[in-house]
Amino acid sequence: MTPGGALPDHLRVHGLTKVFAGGVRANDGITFDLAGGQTVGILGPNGAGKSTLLRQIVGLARPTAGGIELRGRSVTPRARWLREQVAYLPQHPLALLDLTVFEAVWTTAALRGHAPRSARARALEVLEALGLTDLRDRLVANLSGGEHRLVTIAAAVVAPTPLMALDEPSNELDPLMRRRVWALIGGLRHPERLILLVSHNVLEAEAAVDRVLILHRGRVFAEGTPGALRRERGSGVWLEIRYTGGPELLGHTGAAAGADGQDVHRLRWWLPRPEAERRLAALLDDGHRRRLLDINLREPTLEELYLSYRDEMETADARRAAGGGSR
Amino acid sequence: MTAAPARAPLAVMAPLLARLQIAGLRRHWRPYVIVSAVMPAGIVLMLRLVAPDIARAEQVQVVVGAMLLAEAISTIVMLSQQTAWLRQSHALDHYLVLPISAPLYLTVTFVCYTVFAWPGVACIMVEGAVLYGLPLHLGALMVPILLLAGVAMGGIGALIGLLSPREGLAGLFGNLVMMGVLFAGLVPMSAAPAWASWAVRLLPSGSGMSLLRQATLGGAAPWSDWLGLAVYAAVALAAAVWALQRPE
Repeated sequence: MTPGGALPDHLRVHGLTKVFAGGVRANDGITFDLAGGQTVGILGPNGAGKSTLLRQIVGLARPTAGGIELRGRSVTPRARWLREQVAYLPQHPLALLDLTVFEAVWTTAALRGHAPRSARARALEVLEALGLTDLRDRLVANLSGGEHRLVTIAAAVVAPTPLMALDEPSNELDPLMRRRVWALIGGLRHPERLILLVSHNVLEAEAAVDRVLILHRGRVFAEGTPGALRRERGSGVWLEIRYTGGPELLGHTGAAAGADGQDVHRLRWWLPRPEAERRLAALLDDGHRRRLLDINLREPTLEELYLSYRDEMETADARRAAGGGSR
Repeated sequence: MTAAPARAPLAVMAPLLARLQIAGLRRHWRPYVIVSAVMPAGIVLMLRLVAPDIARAEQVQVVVGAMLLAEAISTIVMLSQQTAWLRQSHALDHYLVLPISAPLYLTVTFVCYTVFAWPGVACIMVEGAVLYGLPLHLGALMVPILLLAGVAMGGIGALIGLLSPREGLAGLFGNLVMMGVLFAGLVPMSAAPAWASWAVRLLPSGSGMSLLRQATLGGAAPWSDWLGLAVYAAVALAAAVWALQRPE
């Protein structure tokens, strides 16, 4: 155990492969070990095998090869002990369409072992956190797409388990709903819990994740903390400025940003940090300072890191296609 | 946020699961309660009009067969379609990741769908008494017979829904099996070839027909029929549990 009570090998996945009928290979030898007490973002393009990986981990899909261990026990699909250890948010609609919002969440908590009073309190707490209190007596079937998604999320997280697998939690949600969902997911953190998070919304997921797994064609393409991935991609930073006056600045021409009829331009450089600092100093020289509206010196976001990996993936695919090789 | 106790006791789980199924009546009570009654009741009336002089044994068979047909419409046709939708849409995943007992979940589901048909069953009994003057008894034995027959037919319905590659096919197969129950229940086996009476035994309604006939007439049913129906229900339930827990 780590000092915080987390198991260092909370989840171990070894050579995990899934080939569906018809020969479609969703996962191809995925291997990783994850400690508890963290939130791990699983990223990748459509068809990378993210959802299949989650479905295998929670016991809904049987691996074709390889194995999974959760807290030291080998995962067998549909095993009772496994269902006590995992909660799963699928991308699909909730089965409980004929229940009211409160009943759907309360019943799920009770079926997960909460006593009736405790299940009721937990359900009300989660509904409040997701802004669903006013909808508590509405039938799930009569909700809008976003509200339905929120109820599915509420049912998935109402009784937190040592492993929580959340597939696209912010899909179909408006910005306020998304903010509530990310806050709720943040509140699930626990030293003995591992949260796996599949999301296409990398920008929003960045605040929630401690570690990232990038999948491509059913394999782990990159893995690490966002900081480690940044270091791996080089020590560059973004220097972004907005300025007024003519388009020329430091010998560069800015793209017109046009605001309020002003002659506003924008420039953006990807530079090694020392060079960015030198250029920033030059910009702050008296000759330019009066023209500057905004200055932003920052590390790449997780989304930008991810997109740089996407470029690499596409290059690898193009090379593979040119070579005529299969996967 | 602390971890929840992981498993609910069976005594708590069963009423919760029943509540989930009964909630289906909120939006679908018409098909569950009325449709399952109308077709069998209509068939009894039609047979009374086209063949008013059939023998007493055949009259009993028609009424009892219609009662089981009402259950078959609910437990085979409707349950197979509902289960197929749950499977195809992946909505079933919600249940599959909860720490609930699969046999309990299915048994509760089958019992609920059986009970949905009971208003229709009662109507058909009354109809039989009115149209044919049959002395039909509402014996306590009818409850276990109808429940066992419902579980047996529910097992078939769930199996069809869980194994069908498409929802439409589940509807087709469910209707075909329901047609078998219809013919087996309403066509006198004395007039049918020997192979047909064996085929009837393969249907979940076979032993149920015999038991229900005896129960409604106040007679004693042979133990072999009880055993046959119980074994059928157990095997159908086990097969449905296997199909439910079968991973992708």
